[in-house]
Amino acid sequence: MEFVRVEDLVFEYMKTDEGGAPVATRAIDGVSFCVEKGSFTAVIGQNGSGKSTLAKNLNGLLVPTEGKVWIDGLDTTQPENIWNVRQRVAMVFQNPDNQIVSAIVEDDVAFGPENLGIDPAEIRKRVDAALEGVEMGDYKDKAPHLLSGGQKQRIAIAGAIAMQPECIVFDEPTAMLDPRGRSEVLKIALNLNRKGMTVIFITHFMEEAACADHVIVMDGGKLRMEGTPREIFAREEELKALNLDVPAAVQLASQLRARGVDLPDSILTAEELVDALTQPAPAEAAEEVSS
Amino acid sequence: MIRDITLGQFYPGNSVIHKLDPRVKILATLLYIVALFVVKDFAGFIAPLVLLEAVIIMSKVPRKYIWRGLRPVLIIIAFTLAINLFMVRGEIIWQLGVLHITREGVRTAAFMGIRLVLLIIGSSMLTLTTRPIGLTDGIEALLSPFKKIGLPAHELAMMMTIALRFIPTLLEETDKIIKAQQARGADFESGNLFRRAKALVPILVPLFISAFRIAQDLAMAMEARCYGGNVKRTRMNAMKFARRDLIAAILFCAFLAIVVAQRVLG
Repeated sequence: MEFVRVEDLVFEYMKTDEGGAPVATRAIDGVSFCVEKGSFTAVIGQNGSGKSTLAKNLNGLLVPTEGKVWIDGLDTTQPENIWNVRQRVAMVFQNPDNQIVSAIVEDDVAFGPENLGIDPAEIRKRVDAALEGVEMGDYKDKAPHLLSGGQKQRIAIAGAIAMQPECIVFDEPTAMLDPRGRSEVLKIALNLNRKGMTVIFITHFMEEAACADHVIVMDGGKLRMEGTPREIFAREEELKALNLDVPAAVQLASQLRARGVDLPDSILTAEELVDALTQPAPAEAAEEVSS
Repeated sequence: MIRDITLGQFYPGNSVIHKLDPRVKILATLLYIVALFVVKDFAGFIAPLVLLEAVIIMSKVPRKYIWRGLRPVLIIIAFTLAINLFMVRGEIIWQLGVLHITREGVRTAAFMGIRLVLLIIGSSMLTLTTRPIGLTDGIEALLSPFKKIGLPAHELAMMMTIALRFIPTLLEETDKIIKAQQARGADFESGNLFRRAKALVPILVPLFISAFRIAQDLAMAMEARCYGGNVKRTRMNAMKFARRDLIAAILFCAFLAIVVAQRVLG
């Protein structure tokens, strides 16, 4: 069942040129795709490819200039649908500092449910459950500015979970984090997905995209490629042309293949590469690598 | 330096003082400040001192924490002391050139010093024991009668919540900008006052720009979480005027009565 349906989406924003005259700039140019309920979709693309603008079109923060976005059958261009859309699709943004509203962790997590007008006892339950879900229960009385970037981002995710959405859009949530914070955030996103949450994960780390069921590649406001991570990362040349990389394991595998090591085409992660290199003929593989 | 600030910072706890209704605490703090100005002699400070001591003990906030909040305002206290010490006319007890200290000066300086310290510690007890949301909800509730004459009570309260939340963020931002400017050879430490003030301009401009960027990000994040003003908002910790609030209010009224009686009779 599809949850998000984007049809011929065009988004333009107004910019002023040097003379001060307004010029329409096209950030998204005719993009169409669907996201299945319960799937994990990664959106990759370099800076300025329109991926962040796309994210903001998915919960009505921005509305299409042309085309349509349907969330669970609701058209985001209809103003009366906006609150329902935002309740179904929560967002986690890039900068962990600039999305936390309150000076106490649990009050911040409660902010979304409070806005929805939910009964206080129910908010309490949701906040506790959301904080447990991101393993931040011990920090509920702390001030967010004393936490690490990864912890702050987990609070932001808890704030999204507490609204009980059906889908969470992560807009480059790991871009400002250290490697440890990055893996924590990705782990939580994968966990949520396993429990049935639809996840749309925007990133420029290819290792993160490799964990998705479905990958969308954006460039210059257009959708360039779409498919499973295996399909996408097999097209290394095309990705390079868009200034994108493939995951390190895929790259290493393809270089080894070029040197004559017999490896399957489906390698995506470091674990798979290690397995492929060690299982069939460990001695031979090691020899090939060292030569 | 950034993490030292306790003024306006909440000390998490579960004491009776923490649990009091914020509205009661805010009104009591305001009246306590008024009471400090009703006091006319040293004996009058006994009642506020006893009250403050009782509140500190009940709140279980470590004294070290309270003293730390006092530190940034020490300069103001020292300044007030100096002015009173040297400027008050009266019976001269010590003189050096144009500087002289009078008996009355010593008395006023001590009096003002005690009043200031009691005032600052008293008001920081409010912010130390009340979570920021409680504080702003309390202010919103106390201001809401004025909504009829067009006062945007909810908006003001939300602005205060956000301001409190972003003080540390903006301080960190300032720190980052200062370091970036110093790395490029900017000098903030030498020269006279005027030169130093001028050197601050290259800090303020980027700071303003980043404040606007933060505001934009935050507005976006708030909208994404369905914020739409105060239309149908509920609160996780709804304020309730409980029995302990009534007891606290009665005890506080007794304190006010003692202060006024001491002033009138004493």
